[in-house]
Amino acid sequence: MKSIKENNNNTKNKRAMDLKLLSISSVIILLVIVIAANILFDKLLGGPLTFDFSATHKNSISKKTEEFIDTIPDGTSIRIVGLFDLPASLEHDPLEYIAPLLEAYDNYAGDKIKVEYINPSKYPSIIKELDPSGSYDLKSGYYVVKNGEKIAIVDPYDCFSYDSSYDYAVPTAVLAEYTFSNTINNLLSEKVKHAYFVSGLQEDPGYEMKSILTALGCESKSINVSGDFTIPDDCDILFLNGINADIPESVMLKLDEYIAKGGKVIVSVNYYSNTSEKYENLNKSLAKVNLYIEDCLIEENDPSYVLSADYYESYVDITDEFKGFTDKDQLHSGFPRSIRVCDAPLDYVSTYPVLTTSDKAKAVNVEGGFLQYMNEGKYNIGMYATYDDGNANPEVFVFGTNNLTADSYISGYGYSDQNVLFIRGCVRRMLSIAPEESLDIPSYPVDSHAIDKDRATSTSITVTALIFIAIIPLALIICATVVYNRRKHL
Amino acid sequence: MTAIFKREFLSFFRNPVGYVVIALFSFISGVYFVNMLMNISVDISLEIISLRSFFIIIVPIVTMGLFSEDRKKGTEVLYYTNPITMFDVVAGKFLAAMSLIFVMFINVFIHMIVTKAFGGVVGAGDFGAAIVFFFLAALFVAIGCFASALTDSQIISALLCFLFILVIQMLSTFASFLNSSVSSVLILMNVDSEKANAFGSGLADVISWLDPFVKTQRFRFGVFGVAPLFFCLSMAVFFLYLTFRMLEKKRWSQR
Repeated sequence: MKSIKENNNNTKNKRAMDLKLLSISSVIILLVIVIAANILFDKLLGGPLTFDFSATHKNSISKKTEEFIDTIPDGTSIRIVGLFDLPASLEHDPLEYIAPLLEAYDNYAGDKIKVEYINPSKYPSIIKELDPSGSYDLKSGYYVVKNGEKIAIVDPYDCFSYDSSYDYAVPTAVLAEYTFSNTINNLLSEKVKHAYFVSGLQEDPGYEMKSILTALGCESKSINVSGDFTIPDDCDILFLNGINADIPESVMLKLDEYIAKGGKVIVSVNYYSNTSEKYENLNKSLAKVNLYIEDCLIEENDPSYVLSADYYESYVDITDEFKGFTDKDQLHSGFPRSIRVCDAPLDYVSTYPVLTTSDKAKAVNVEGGFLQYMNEGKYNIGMYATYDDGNANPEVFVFGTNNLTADSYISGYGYSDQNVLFIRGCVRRMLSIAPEESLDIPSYPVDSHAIDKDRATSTSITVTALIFIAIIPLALIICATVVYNRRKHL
Repeated sequence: MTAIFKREFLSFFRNPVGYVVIALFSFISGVYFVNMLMNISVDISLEIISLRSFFIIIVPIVTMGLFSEDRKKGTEVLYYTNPITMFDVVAGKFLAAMSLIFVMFINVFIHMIVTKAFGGVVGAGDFGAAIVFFFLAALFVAIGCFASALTDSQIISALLCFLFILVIQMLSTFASFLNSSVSSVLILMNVDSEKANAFGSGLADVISWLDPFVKTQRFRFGVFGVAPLFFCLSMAVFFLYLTFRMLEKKRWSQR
């Protein structure tokens, strides 16, 4: 009897052990399968089974960039190195707009483009590896784009366009793809052009214009009018961008010299920013190319041209000579000055109107009275001048409005606006850049979650707050109390 | 399974737990929503992301009684003696808890409608965040089921579930802590600093790989990936299998 009991116990123990073993081994096997399946899924299908459903497709590269990457020769190896640790969470971080996009570059380009994040505080050797000669001041927090020996540095904050009408930076548009594609394009191109912005004349900062020039393969630098002002020999194009003060005489002489040597200049001024400025020295220089900036404000009186109630924001027509720069025939102009041929024109200079008003425009002076010699008629808001003789021809565009080059306009209207396309066309013409040499990748707006202020009145918000914070939770708590009271004795 | 699901789901509303949990969720989501409304900028995905932090409170309340209560009352024997499989029991209870989470989430759907009515934007990112919410909920409810199957005390079950979710929520923090501490220790042991940092980062990457919050964060930006959802789902299946094994163990236990 005892042996039968022992036998039963042994059988039970054996069965229990078998079950335990089965249980533990099945759990371990399942865990291994789950982990292995996830690793495989991540590696093999993680990329193909990821979709960008965002409204602006901000996480994926555009067709234009794909086509550009396709043109990169095989064997090219471009490294995009973020000199920082990629944060685990991208919430409320500008990298939200950059990191997923760069992954898309990496995924699409294969071996041609490799994106990495290496923090130099942990791996100091990365600085030496990227910049062996130490010519660039590489620092944490930036992206470095490297092709062979050539390096370009991209600040993540440069991947946005900002509204400059605030005291603080308010991002309005995302330029991440625009910036990176054009940086790579510039690194691959043989020759980089140089644009110089004259500073110290209460000018527009020109951040947006510099970004546009980068896309055209131009490196931008500033030269201040104070001290020993010289225009560098490598200057391919000179900008007097939204200046509100006249140039000093020393600058005038250098500018004359630069123009005489066949320099390319873009000048933009308007009337609104400095009504009393007559630009006497600048006009003396411009007289070398037969141009003159008027001291008057153009008032548009044709209703089909007027954009705002004060007549000073209006459409301007693009003349036939320059129509190919954009798809449209008209651009936006704001508080413009008129540009005309100077009083004693030189016979070897040719001038062309670029932007014109309607026939019903009027010129007014600062007091609001009509100028006697300029009544109703067509005015030039932009003019172009060059020499006829064919050797070392200078080219000068003068615009009486800042709406083509100013940060406030470009950040508000974006890089796909007609004014921006037009100024790009002007630069391309001056620097002889073929359209296919630059990548016009459109920007897109930063995600906005704003609601309609007219609908979200204080009353409607109060009612909504009352419903969601008080009435619904309270009603549910009352239900809970009733249920509890009814069932507590069961 | 339908019978189990029905019984469990209705049981949430036959005692105050279901109402209290929904009231709590409504209040918290309402506070977030109204706060955004007052700022004239409503980002529903941000609300959903913020609500994910409350899984640590809500899921233990929802799941604490799923198995432990039956065990305490002795009604679990009904599952063993009735012609149903343990799979039906686990799946039924899991789906009941998920349904309660869905009922809670109706609040957020109402917020979406109100946002549209106020002229706001409800986009792919918001729906992505909602999808992730449910997949994460599935993972945490499965963990809650497992915690509930471990003990016959609802309090201990809730505490265990709380701890499991806390550990998962802290994975990123833990990974970065481990990264810096391991690197520092190795550097102190005269290991080359770059090699030490590489080892620390590798370790941190392995731990971060297990973090479902990091894996799913890009849904909010409109990036829909199947791999992160597969991760949540497969982990949920694993924890449900653990629950199933726990019940099977009790079924065939000698004591």
